[in-house]
Amino acid sequence: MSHHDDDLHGLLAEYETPSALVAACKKVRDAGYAKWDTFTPFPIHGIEKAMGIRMTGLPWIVLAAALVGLASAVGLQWWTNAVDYKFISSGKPMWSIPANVPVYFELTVLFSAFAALFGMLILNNLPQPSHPLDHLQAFGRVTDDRFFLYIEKGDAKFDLAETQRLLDGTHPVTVDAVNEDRRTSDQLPKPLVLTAAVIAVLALVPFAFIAKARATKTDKPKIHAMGDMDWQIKFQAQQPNPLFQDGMAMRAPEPGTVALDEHPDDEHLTAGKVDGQFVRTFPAGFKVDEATMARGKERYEIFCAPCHGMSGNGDGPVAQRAMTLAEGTWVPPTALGQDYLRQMAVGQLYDVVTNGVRNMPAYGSQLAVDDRWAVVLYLRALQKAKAAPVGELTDAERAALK
Amino acid sequence: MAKTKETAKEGGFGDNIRMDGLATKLMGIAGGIGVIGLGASFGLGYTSDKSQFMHSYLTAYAWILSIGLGALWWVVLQHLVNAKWSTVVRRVGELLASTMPVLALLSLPIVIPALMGDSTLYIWADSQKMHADHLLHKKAAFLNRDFFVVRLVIYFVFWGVLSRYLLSKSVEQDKTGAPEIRSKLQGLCAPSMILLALTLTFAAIDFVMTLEPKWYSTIFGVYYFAGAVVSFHSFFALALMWLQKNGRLAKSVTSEHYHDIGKMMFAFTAFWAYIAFSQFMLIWYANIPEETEWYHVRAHGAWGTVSYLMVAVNFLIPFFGLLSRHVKRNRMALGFWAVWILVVHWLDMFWLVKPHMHTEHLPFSILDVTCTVGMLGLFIAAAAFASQKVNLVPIKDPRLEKSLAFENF
Amino acid sequence: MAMAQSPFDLAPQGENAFARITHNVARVAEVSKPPRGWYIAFGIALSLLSVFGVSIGWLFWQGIGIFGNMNPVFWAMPIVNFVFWVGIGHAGTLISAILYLLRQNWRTAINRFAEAMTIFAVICAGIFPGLHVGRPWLPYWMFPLPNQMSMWPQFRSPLEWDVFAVGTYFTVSTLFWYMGMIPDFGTFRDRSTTKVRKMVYGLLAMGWRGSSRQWHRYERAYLILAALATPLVLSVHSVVSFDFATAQLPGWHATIFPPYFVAGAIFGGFAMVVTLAVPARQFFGLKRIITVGHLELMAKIILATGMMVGYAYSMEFFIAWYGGNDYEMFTFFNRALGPYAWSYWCMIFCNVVSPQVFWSKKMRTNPWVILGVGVLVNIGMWFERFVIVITSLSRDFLPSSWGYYKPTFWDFSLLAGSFGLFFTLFLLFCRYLPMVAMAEVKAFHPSAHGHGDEHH
Repeated sequence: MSHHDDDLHGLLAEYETPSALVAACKKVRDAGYAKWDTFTPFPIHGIEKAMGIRMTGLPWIVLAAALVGLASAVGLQWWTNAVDYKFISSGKPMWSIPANVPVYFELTVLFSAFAALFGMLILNNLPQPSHPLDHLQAFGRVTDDRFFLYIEKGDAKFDLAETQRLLDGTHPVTVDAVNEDRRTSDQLPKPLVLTAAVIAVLALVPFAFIAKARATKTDKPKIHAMGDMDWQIKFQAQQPNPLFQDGMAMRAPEPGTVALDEHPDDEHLTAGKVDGQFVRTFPAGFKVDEATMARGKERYEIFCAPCHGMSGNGDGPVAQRAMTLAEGTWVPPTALGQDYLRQMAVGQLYDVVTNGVRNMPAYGSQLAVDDRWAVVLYLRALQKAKAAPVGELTDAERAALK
Repeated sequence: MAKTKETAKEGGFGDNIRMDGLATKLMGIAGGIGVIGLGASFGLGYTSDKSQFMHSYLTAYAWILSIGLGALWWVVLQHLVNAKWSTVVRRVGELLASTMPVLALLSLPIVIPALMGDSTLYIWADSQKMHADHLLHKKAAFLNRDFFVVRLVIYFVFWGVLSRYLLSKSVEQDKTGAPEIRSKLQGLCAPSMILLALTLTFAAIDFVMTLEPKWYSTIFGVYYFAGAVVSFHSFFALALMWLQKNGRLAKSVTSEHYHDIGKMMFAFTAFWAYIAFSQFMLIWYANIPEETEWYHVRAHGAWGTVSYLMVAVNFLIPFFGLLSRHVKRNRMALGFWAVWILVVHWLDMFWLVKPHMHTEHLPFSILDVTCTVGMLGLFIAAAAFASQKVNLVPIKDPRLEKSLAFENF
Repeated sequence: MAMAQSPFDLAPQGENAFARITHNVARVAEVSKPPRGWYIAFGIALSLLSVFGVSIGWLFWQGIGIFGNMNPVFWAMPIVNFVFWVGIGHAGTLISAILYLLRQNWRTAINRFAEAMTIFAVICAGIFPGLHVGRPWLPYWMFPLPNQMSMWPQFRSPLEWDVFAVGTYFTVSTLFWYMGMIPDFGTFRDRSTTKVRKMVYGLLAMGWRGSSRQWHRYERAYLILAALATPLVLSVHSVVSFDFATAQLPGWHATIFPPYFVAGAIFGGFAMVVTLAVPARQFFGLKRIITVGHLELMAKIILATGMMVGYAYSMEFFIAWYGGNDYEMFTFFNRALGPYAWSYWCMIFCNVVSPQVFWSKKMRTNPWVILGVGVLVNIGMWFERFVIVITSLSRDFLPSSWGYYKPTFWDFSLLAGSFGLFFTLFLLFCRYLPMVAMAEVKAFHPSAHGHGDEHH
């Protein structure tokens, strides 16, 4: 083979067996070469030692990626479930570490795996589209059944004659001079670039649609992709239904049905009446104590105070606002300390809470029976506080009033 | 590295593979420690708190039994998969597994009180209490004294006969060199593995899970098994290091073998964590009262601290400690982690057993030390006893050559 | 082609063992016409695939009302099929990763196509949850995307763990599979005779030339991926088992579910490997590479994992009794004797009884017996998931809500169609990609040792 010195890239020796190659490696290694490599169809056990290859740093890259993956998983789950969009699920804490462990693990592995593959490719300088060896016919067998040793001209110790002699002494099949690759274009092939460009553009299309959808408004109704999910063939509450005699879709409970907290026998408790007369006493078994009073106060302040005011003067925030706006139809809430209310039977007060009166809505559906009585109890306490006889005050209170 | 000058040739084997005087010496020292340790335990236990003694004893027993069962499982596995790397160290495993008779004897202080109706450990030992409880009386068909003893006899007879047989066949091969012993044992080990899985599971249930007879977990046997395997490998590594330090197997056992043992320690540390997490997470998530109760006790107060500690010491720390191949190949480092694992595995047993005694505080006691040291002494003495007249290497096993030349990638 | 009838039974060509391996594997993808069996199989697979397409089309048009799902069996065949396919997908990575770490060199004969099988099975699996929710335009809700509702996924839900577990598994398995093929793509590239082949395989090989410095990092990366994939395999089916086991439903809530599902997945996965390997070696003349010895080893693994599954069945039964929980006890009683007893005993027969024939050496060295048991185990593992899902749901706490679930035609057509997708992908893989890891097989060939330099 004749060549100009400028054109030479290196010397390639070919071997038939792995053991011949390994023996050659030891000689080349001991001769002190640095820019050389071997090429084999499969990894050869023990060649690292023969070539003096040091352990790769890849495991450290993977470890770092693993830690990043773990941190991402912790951060993702913490931010999304414990900070940004909190809601309770099956009684678990917002930030539930045991329930987060599976995703910790998966993301750690995912990041590590990417690092292992891409780290390997980057460290190996892949992809590597061309190499001077590609133009040697014989080198095609490197992925089949032949073993090659290549010393580059760029090596400091490279000397054509000397290196040739060294390689000849390792029992190769042949030793070939390899020329610089001046044939392969340093441009990527046109069809490849074109395909890649088309794919890249097409890949952007869905994102463009999403961006458009997010940035624009429409007055058209939503698209019903599956009509029978949105318009199900069923009767809804309050609709007519010809199947039943009364023509209604909703069914009334069977006569005599008793709900769980109903006490149909205890009219005193549930209606505040006995024989059609409002009762003047609290029901039997109703405990008049601090706890009930506190409960009544709490319910009162939630349900009654918005209109009637915290101390029952009829000046709650709703009433005040209505006054400010001067609403014509507004009926001011009753001041609860008035005499006729102080004389009113507790049964009737209970009835008003339950069923409402005039403009006041019924609270029976929002307050349980016991809570309604507790509100009445608290109301009595308010009334008493507003017009307490001096005789009922303690000495200290009397002193404070003076 | 250990000194290799004294080379007793046995069948042309170029390494010291006989225990000779060392066995007697070890039997004396370990046996002595064992007798003193257990004697002190009985003395202290008799004079002070019975409940403390029983629970400390059971903790130590669950620990030592797991090492013995780990050894038996390992030997059966090596035969079953026809392992080649382990041939040179297999005999040591066989010797550790042959301690079954001593382990059976050591169970007596647990079994006899139960048999006599003492419900300090097991409430089911008292049939009146069992019948008084609506839930428990349904379980009386399984949880009763007679059936308990029958089961234990089955376990120990099976383990004892199996370990004895595996050792004797292996020793027989040393003399006859009959290669068909290999395939014969491989065939035997397939059904043995199934029986071993079942007996190990039920032993774990009987000794530990029935402490809280209302609690149950289908994975419990696997949990105990995971701990058994990781602690056996740790003990195994230490045993080999000790032998090499005393000039035995000095040339035959190499860093490659330690590397493999280290891999098993590493893998089963992770496996233990996987099983422990699965059990905890499923019970925590479903939050069914009769299951959660068990973890509830272990999640609060002093026991809560132990539980959090275990996440670190039983998993995170040894996992990262054993991650590197350099650690697995370095005897000092591997020895450190082996000791670490044995200690934390003991803590695991403590965590399984002791909340039954005190749900509020940690009932540590000198009895924990004396029972553990005593049982460890007798266990080692039993292995030393078995090692007196045998080679430490199955010299005529056809796989030995591969095992000696074995290298990790 | 000289012999039109079976071009794959040619005598091995090449001057040495390595060349023979290359030739044996590469010719499968190089001959201009595959064997007739391939066409027949591909035709069947394509027709099943079109069944799949039609079924999905009808499902999207009509909604999930076409399923047999009913009250109280809200989870039915789609989830059964999902778990079934994910399970199949376990053997591939197991063979590649765990057997690699355990130095089981025989794996090289089968690892490549077991990995391919994994990926295709996971694709089949991944389709079912998407179909099951009935709103095919909303699956992006599963991903942590800042969408227009400012809503995030619910990470305390096992179903969300599934998304991450199966997604990670699919990604890592694909990376592992692709990485293993890089050197073999290099071989295909160097043997290419047409420009298109050279271009395509060349792109896939990324300029791999077998440099030893590259092999060194490559092997390290492979080892790391194997070490990562091993716990990953365990985690994936464990997470799938959490879908059930975190619930309080009797028959679902058992702490042994994670390892039990993993063992079952390996069991079913290996069964699928032998189901594919026996015909593949027959069609493509790979009997010298996938030997009876390899099949025997897989038969042993099927037996061993079958026993593990049997262990889990018995533990569940024992604890159902021992736990003293009436509901739990009833569920298991009902499985064995209730209205779905047929499915339970079908499962027991296929999964526990049928592999017992492998105790006999004669049986486990007969490829057709292995194939038969493999098919039975596949059926049994499908029924295992059916038993877990259906029997538990159809008889829950309130007898008033009990029901009997019957799958509809579309439930079955989707299952059959998913096999069409699986086999179509698999047959394309056999035709165009390196079916056996040539480089790895060569590396374990007896003449591959680099030691004996003294002979020269």
